[in-house]
Amino acid sequence: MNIKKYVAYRLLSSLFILFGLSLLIFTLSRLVPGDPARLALGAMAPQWAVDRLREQLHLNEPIYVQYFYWVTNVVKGDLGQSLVTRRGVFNDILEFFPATFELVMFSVLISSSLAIFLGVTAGKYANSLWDNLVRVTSYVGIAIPSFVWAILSVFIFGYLLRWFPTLGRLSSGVIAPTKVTGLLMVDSLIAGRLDIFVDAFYHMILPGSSLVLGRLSQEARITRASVVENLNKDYIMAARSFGIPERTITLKNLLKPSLIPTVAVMGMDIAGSMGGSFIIETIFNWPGLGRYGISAMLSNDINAIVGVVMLIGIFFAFMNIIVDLITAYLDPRIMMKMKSG
Amino acid sequence: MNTELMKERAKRNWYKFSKNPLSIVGLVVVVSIILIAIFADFVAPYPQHAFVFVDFKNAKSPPTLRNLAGTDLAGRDVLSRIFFGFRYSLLMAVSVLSVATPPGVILGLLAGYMRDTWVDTVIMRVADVFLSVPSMVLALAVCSMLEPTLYNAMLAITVMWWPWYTRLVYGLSSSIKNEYFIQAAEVTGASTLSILLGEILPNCLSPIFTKMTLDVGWVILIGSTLSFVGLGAQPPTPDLGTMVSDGSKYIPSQWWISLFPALFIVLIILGFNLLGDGLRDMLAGD
Amino acid sequence: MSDELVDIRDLHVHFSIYEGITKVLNGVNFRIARGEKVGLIGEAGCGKTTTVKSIMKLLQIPPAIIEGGEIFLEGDDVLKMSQQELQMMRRKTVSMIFQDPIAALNPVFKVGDQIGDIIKFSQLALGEKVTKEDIKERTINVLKEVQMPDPERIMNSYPIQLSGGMRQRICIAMALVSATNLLIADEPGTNLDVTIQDQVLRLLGDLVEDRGTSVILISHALGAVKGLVDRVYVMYAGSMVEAAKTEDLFSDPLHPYTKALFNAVPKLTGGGIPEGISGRIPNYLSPPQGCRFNPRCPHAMPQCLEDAPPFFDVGEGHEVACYLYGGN
Repeated sequence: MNIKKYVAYRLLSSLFILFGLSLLIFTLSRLVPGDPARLALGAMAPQWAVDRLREQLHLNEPIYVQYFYWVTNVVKGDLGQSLVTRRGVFNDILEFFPATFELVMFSVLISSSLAIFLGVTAGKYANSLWDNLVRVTSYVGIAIPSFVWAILSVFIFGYLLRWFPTLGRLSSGVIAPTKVTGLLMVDSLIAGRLDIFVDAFYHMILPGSSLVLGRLSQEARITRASVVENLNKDYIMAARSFGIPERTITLKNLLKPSLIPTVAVMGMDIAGSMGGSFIIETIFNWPGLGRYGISAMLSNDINAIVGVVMLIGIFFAFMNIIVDLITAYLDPRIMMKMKSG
Repeated sequence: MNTELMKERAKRNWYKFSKNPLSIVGLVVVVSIILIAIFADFVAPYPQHAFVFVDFKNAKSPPTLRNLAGTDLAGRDVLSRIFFGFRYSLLMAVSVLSVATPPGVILGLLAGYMRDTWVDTVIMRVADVFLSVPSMVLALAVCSMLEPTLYNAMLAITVMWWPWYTRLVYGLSSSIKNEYFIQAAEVTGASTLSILLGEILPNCLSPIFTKMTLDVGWVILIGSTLSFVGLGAQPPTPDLGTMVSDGSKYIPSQWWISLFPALFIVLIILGFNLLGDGLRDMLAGD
Repeated sequence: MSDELVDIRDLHVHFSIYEGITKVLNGVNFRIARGEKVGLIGEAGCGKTTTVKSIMKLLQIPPAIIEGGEIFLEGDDVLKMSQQELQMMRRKTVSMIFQDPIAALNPVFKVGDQIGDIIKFSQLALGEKVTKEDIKERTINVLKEVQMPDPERIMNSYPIQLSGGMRQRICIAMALVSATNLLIADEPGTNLDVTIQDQVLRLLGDLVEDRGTSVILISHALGAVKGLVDRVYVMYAGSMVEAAKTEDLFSDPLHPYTKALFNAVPKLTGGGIPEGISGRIPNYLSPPQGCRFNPRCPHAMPQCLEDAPPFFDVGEGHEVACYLYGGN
């Protein structure tokens, strides 16, 4: 089984799982008390209007029929209308997704690099002062829920020290650059506006760090454990015995095998951060998918909830496939297992 | 097993556990919290403040000797409420894990034992579906579709927690089932149930137990996040997450209303994590 | 002493473990001359690997502690070498073939890549730069030398794709490519099928014959050592107990341990299954005072319990560390 077949197999299996997910979330959404049509039109609307809307939305039909209509709509790109924004959920998602994507990717990439650096240095100099410092800090970091750190960091860095802004993506009065990707950092560079770039960057620091603190700590721990384990392996000693310089050993012979568990966790962390963004975006008033999702959840906006969950499911499945491919690249033993079926 | 052997075992386990002093710290913290939770009525300085109590004269006063953690917007002693809040955190962890683990484990045993049959495929695909979105999202979604109460929050977390155990046990079960002693049991006609529970399960207990202890911290973390968002315990219940959320409006001036509950959340999670790590070291390499 | 390639004098190495300090090497004396092939035999756990690792200063310090002694390699004391000098030594002078090939090869890099790195750095040490094509050529050459079929394919394979015998030969190739005057082979082929082990040892023998390299061959299989080396050291519990030319050692073992060792080997003809040596190897945490074999030695004398005996020369290069042969 080569790479292409493997990817095809994974895509198919993901499709299957997403199908299952859609069933799950659809069923759950139909369990909510209340009449969706009534909620959409409001308490003042006449009964006949409500009834007519119910017909249109197929709400009187059995649940599997409703599901069928729902799926066909989704394929057309119609996720229904949001109760809150009164626009198509699909459009809402398109509008809000880039902000979340930018926040998540920016934070995860920086935190993973930092985690790898901390893990490798702590592992290499195990039991040193640095190592103990890293270990204690990561222990504590894992135990801090993201919302706690969010509030703490807003308090310390936002109010007391006034180092970083605490709300939104840009300072008031700063106009966003023309939208190319929806990612402010990228768009501002494309437009050549370094000042906007810096402003956007500053706005990402507090929410970003709150989002990934726990994960950064976990990744550092895992990397460190992996490095410590591999340092004792014979092949490292063998490399040394042939006179390969320490630097090469650390950056090549040690690093590649040690990163394998880290990468596996990183994929989960990117996806998990999408979940964490729900809380963080609300606290920092970040106009992304998370904030949209929370407001949908708090106001029983079924279509929006379903849409957001499905999108995250798709993103997650995609992320898992990428992580598996990277892991297979790092560890040829996995590719051998794949090849043998 | 005679008592001599058990004493030796206990001594060896303690030695392995206490090798890392942090594990002892974890143990002390967890035991203290459990004791405080149980005896909150006696330990809290103002037990009557826990739920409904109003004293506006004293409202929003900073930490003093009388109120070590200050008072909240209704004049209730924050520290006492925190102590009672431990009950809800522990309750959440215990309920979720005790309800989610058995079905998760049984499904995992079954799927692993019947590997590469339709039973395996069905069970693991269902588990995959539940694991296909990040835990937080699923918990939030389920929670939002139910009425916001503590019990519904527990239900939501339970619903998305069981598949982790299924996956864990699936791996263990499918590798154990190839061992000779399993084949011996099959040949002598033991029923599937007795093989699963009698032969395979005992060999999985250590990892399961270790995971459960490490999971306590996670459940409390997610639970407190749900309450923070408003989807869990509702006021006046002294839930730690709810307290942080209530107090967040008063930052920075009345910082103590949020900060102390937040710090104790971290403390609980940290304690269980350290304890869990110690248990894992103790059970490993046996 | 100057045509000695390696001269280990009174080496003491301890290890610090949780339960205490294990006094593993207890005054090791070892010499090997240029071009000489020396065998090192002894039970598992007697300190053979620790000794040879010390020559290349590969022991992790801590937990290892070097308590005393000197190791002269081509006249320089290894224990006093700087990091730079050690690196040079490992690239130019000494290399080692490890005991367990699957563990000694990095699982996530291609074999050719790993060999290539060694070539690059050893050539650097000799003051020559090498190009990529050069490295590739040399890699293919050395793979041919160790009789690997289809070297190009092997180069692009990962260790997990190769058989045990092939992996062992890759390890040999790696050691050869690291320009050496001294090759240390730590129980080569010991984890493999006996026939493969035989092939591997033969290959090793041929290769060093061509090159005139000195060899230290460690083994706990006595027969394997016989055909390959000029001289043999017998080691027990952290020190050398006997050293002699191969024929002399096997025809006329002197140390009580050596004698018992040879007696313990089952013979196909006559004798049946022998008894083995009574007693056990000592606990390194609290080893016996004096000669470490004294608890199990049928000839133990009061002297043996006090001081460990030095090597006594009984002629023709045959040395024994036993009071039966000297030092009254």
